[in-house]
Amino acid sequence: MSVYRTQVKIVADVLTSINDGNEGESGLGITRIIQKANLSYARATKIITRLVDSGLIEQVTIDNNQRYILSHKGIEYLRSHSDFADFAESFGMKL
Amino acid sequence: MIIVLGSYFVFAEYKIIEGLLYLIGSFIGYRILRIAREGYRNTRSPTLLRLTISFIALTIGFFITGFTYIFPRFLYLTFQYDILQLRLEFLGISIALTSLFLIIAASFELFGYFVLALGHGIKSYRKSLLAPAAFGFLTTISVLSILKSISFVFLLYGSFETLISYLESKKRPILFMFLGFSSLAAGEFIRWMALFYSGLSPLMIASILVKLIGFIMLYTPVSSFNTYKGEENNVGI
Repeated sequence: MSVYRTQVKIVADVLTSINDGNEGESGLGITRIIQKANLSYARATKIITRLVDSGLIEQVTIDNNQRYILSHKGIEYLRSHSDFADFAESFGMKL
Repeated sequence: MIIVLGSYFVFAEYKIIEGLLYLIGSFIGYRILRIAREGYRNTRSPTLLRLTISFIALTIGFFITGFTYIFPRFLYLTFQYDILQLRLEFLGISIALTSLFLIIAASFELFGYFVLALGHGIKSYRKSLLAPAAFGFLTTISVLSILKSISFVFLLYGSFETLISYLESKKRPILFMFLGFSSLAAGEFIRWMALFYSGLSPLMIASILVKLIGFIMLYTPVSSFNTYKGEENNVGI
């Protein structure tokens, strides 16, 4: 049975994908984000747009390609997500 | 003043001890709600919002219960020493207000346990029929009994769901939470049985001790978390 992912978990997965896949500060393209976070194209673009708007990731253009890197705010978000996921888990709940 | 306070503690009844216990509970609830609130502020997680709302209600409920048990008795014992001449007037008011306060506190606790149980979703419904069976425990005598009974059912449900989560992940903090919630439920159940006896019966002492263990268990995993002061985010998608 597939595990249900909450919106917060999906956002964390996208941010983790960008953070882990950001080789040499060149950022990650949307195709790699889709693969790593296991999302559809439509869903991924919607989420990425919101993450850019909220300042958690930054969009950079390298060789006419749109790539995404994690901002300082995004790193802070990932850290707090990890901490509070443990906290919620101690109640037997998932973020 | 020292003599009065000393006498107050020497002649302390179980209600006062129970009141102190509920004040400890409200402190632990406040600690949990602060962490959950910070978590919601940073991650916008609905789970943490539910935990925050739940523990706001539980903290208020525990505080009102503790206050209702302790404060009137403190004044009552104080008035016995004729420090103030308002003893009779106060007793009349306190009897009426105590019932009202306890009902308000029980309502908060009921709401808190309901939101907490709600936060678990329906894991047990898919895996076992034991949790729905817990609803059969409901016994109703008065408004307070109804509220306490329903709270007890939600508390049982919450501890059962926590046990399922522990069996899935085998993580120690979840075990502490399960032991905490189940001890609070057991303490409440023993307290009901103790109502058959007057005064400070062994059952009442057992109830207080079991509840104290429950609060300690609840606090153990939470004590390792510091209140996180991160940046407020808005990532609701």
